[in-house]
Amino acid sequence: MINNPEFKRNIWLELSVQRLIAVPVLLGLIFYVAIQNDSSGAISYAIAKSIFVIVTILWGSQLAFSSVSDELQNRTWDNQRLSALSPFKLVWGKLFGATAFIWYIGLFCLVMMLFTTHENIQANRYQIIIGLILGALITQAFAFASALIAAKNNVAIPRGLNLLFIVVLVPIVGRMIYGSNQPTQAWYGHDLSYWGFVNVSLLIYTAWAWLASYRIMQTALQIKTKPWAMLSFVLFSAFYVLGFYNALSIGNFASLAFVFAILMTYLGALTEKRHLASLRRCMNPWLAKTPEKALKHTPYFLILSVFCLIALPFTSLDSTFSSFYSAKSLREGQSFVIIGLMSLLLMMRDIGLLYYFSLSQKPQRAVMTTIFYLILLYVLLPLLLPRTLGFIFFPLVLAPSVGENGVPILVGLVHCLAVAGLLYRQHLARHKALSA
Amino acid sequence: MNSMPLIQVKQLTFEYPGTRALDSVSFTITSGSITALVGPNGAGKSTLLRCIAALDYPLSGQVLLNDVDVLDDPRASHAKIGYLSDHFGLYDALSVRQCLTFAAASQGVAADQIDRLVNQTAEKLDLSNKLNSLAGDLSRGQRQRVAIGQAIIHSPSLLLLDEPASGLDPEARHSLSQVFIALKQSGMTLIVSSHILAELEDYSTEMLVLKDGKILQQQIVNETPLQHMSQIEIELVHIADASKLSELVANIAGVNQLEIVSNVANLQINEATIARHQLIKLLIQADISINRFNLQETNMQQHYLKAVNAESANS
Repeated sequence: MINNPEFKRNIWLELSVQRLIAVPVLLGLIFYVAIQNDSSGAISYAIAKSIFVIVTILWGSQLAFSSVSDELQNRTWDNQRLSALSPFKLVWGKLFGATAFIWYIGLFCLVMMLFTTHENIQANRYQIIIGLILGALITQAFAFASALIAAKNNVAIPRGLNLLFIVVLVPIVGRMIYGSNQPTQAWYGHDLSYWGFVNVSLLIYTAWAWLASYRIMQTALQIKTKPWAMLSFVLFSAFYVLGFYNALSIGNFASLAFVFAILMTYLGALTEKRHLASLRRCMNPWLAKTPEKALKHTPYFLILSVFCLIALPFTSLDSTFSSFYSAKSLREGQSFVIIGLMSLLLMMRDIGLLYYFSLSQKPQRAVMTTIFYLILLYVLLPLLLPRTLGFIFFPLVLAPSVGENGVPILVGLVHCLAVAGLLYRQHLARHKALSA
Repeated sequence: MNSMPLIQVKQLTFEYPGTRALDSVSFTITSGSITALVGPNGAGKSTLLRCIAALDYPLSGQVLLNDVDVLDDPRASHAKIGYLSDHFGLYDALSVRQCLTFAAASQGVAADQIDRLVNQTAEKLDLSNKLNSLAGDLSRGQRQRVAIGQAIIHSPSLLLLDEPASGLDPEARHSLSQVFIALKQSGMTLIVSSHILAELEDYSTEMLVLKDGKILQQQIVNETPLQHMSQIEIELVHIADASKLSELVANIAGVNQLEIVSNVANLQINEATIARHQLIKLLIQADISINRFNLQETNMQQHYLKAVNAESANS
């Protein structure tokens, strides 16, 4: 018997005798009717495939999401956090326990797809079936990870939030599975079988989503972790994407890693706890000169920012992307290093703003308020103001001339200092209010 | 009773945005006690319990459980803690047996022990005849007991209960009190938060008064539940008898001298050890002339109000 109480609990809830009997009866009837009216087998195959997609991808991701959000709603999440269950057991117990019923349905569909024979059905049926299974696994894993992020931060999760993931993820996965008839995929100069490549990619990114879930669960259970997983993901993604361009070099690798790190930094800042306590928890071990402990408490956005800073000088080494960017830049010839440095400064400003609103007395709408101000800073002000003034708000692309690379950096620094000033003023006000 | 400190809270500070929920809170809880954590709504009781359980991380300070910092190693301390939140969480679609089985298994109880512990816990909480009922079909009092069962099934050394009796009828409250007393007798240490003082009086041995995130008072009432403690005011005929009285009470078990001013003495007696009429008899035997012997109505409510009033006067 599987020794995972969380998995067993989900099985108790999901697999009742009635359900176990009802599924084969109902699916049997549907397939029977389909077979009776379909001499070619194509319709039966399409019906089985559609049911599989609807059940495992749409319903499955909803269930994976609910396996965490229901715990919050039913106030059982604290009990889980206090349990002796390891994060590994909790992750797979929830992810596969909560979706056990839909995999039970999916199994009948897969059997139907495997045994439907017709010459019109694609020859690569097995690869498509593997792709569908991996597609379901990856959407479920992403939905689960997103619910865990909200649970970790004690945020009430709207039930429909996972629809967002479905809207974003399903077309990507769908395009990979359905959208291409190309036989091969070029990667680092090798012509690989398209389906083999898609399925291995899906498998690898599913594994990343599982690892992310495991790491977030560790944080939710207050197990301190070092930031190697996030950094590894950034490096792997840079390596993976470079394969499509067959352009592996230190400069290109550093450039892409830099871009991924910037994206992940924003994601980290948005999804991590933004409390005064978490900042102090990070600061204290650094002040006590215990870097081992400090690393476990340092927010990802800070670690990734340092990584960006380290990667930046390497982006100028033999980088196709740097040259490409410089050529396509609004300011022709602008160095990628300068652009990168400005991006870093603006990113610090944006995260500073996010923290400013998060540490305010009404932090509930911090993310939305920050997004509003960022739209103002990045879009509205540069569009509404004349170019010279717009540059003050968006030095990234609207710098005055090529020869003055120092100026946009200076403006970026001013932005950072302004936000730092706001944060300092907020700190003083809090101190004053508490001592009053 | 073992008087070793089980929990030491040192300079604990916790902030919600714009509010300091706990302000440099320090206290010690001895092993085998039942501590009533009292205070008005918003005093910081739930936050304090959550910090002790390492469910929330404070701004600063330390919580030591058996000298181990729970904030440094929350997972290790969770095995020793049972926690019942004010919104006790149950899986409504599971039977009581499944709820308790899951709780035991998830707390790492050995598989061959689970059935025995489930039956034992159900018996302790008077749930034996409800084991096959769905948790969602039970009354509030029964659900409360299932939630307590989940929290104690792994025999934690510390049980934290946040407003456990809220919403219960008087009968269910009384039955809950009996459960807490039984748990204490089995060696468990309990911290029970509530703003309904009457219910805490039945079983508490210590009282911790919290207001605006600060500890106003920690009253240790020896090992005896507060309901057994009485406060007596004695007015002596002769002031000269005051020293004789003081000498006498020092040698009587169960009697503590609180204060003697002029010819009026305030004593605290543990009526489980010595009855009032026995004390009067001893006073007469010692040839102490008494003008007046008054029973002061001192209950938890008064202890609490005294602490709160003293704090108001100071501030």
